[in-house]
Amino acid sequence: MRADNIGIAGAFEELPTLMVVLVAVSLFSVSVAHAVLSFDSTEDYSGLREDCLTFSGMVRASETLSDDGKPGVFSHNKLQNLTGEDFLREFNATSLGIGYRVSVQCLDTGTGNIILDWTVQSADIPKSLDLATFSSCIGVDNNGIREAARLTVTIWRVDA
Amino acid sequence: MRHRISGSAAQVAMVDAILFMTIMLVASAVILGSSGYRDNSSEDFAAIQQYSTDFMETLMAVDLNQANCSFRSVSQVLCDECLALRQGVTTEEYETMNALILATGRNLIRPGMDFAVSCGMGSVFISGNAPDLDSLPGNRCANMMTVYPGEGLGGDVAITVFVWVV
Repeated sequence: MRADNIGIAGAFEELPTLMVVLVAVSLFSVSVAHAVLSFDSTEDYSGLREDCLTFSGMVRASETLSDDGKPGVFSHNKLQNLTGEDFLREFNATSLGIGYRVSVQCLDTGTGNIILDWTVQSADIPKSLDLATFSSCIGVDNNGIREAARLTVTIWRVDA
Repeated sequence: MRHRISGSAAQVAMVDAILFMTIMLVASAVILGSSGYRDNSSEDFAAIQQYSTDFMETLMAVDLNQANCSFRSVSQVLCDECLALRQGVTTEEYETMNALILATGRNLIRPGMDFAVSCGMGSVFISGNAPDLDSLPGNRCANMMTVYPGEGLGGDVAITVFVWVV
């Protein structure tokens, strides 16, 4: 057994070094954890946007809103008379796993004025969740005359 | 003597630790920076491409109210204008109809986007901001349709609709 103070002094001198290493490792761990969580949320949002595009296509092809089942052409009369319940029955939010808001604005193409504004919403839009929106154009058959409308679809995830 | 050697070793360890921390900080910055960058370009392009397809299908089918209270679709009007140009005939009627098509498209298109319509390889060109095909922006989406004019009236008329983000 040695009677000097090398071992004790060595341990105390390395404490600051150990602290620096610990801080560095902690910082790196936090940044990696943040990156992993951020990557997951990015993947989720990309999936939501893809679902929004798909759902928008389903709405465009909806037979509830068209006379002859032609995709992308809605019936003006049906838009005037259709209740939200009929649409919600065709597109069941629970089975789809999404909440949605669908808005159709029929335009006077000469002036740009909105002549019919039809909106259906499956539930209140949550403030804390990500939303994906896709705007599109559709034709509207008004007694044999083809007009145009803007279709806006907004979706969000709902718990099963 | 031994005491001095021990102190020097600790200083070397501290230098190594600071070097290690510097590397860790740089690595953390790179990871945080790359995680904050969200590459949506392919999704954005898919959405714009889908929108441009829907826009063209809708615009081309819209019935325009003519002066004599008859209705013709935009694609029919463009086809007739191209056929008239093939025969060397130009009338003021088509200028009025082109202005109507431009107004219809402007009222229909989503805010923040612009469009142009080209028919018959540019012989008819309708746009609010671009004077000709060459001046269209590079990030445009294009959709084309052809209209069969009928027997003895020449080949199909090609209509191209360009859509881009302003």
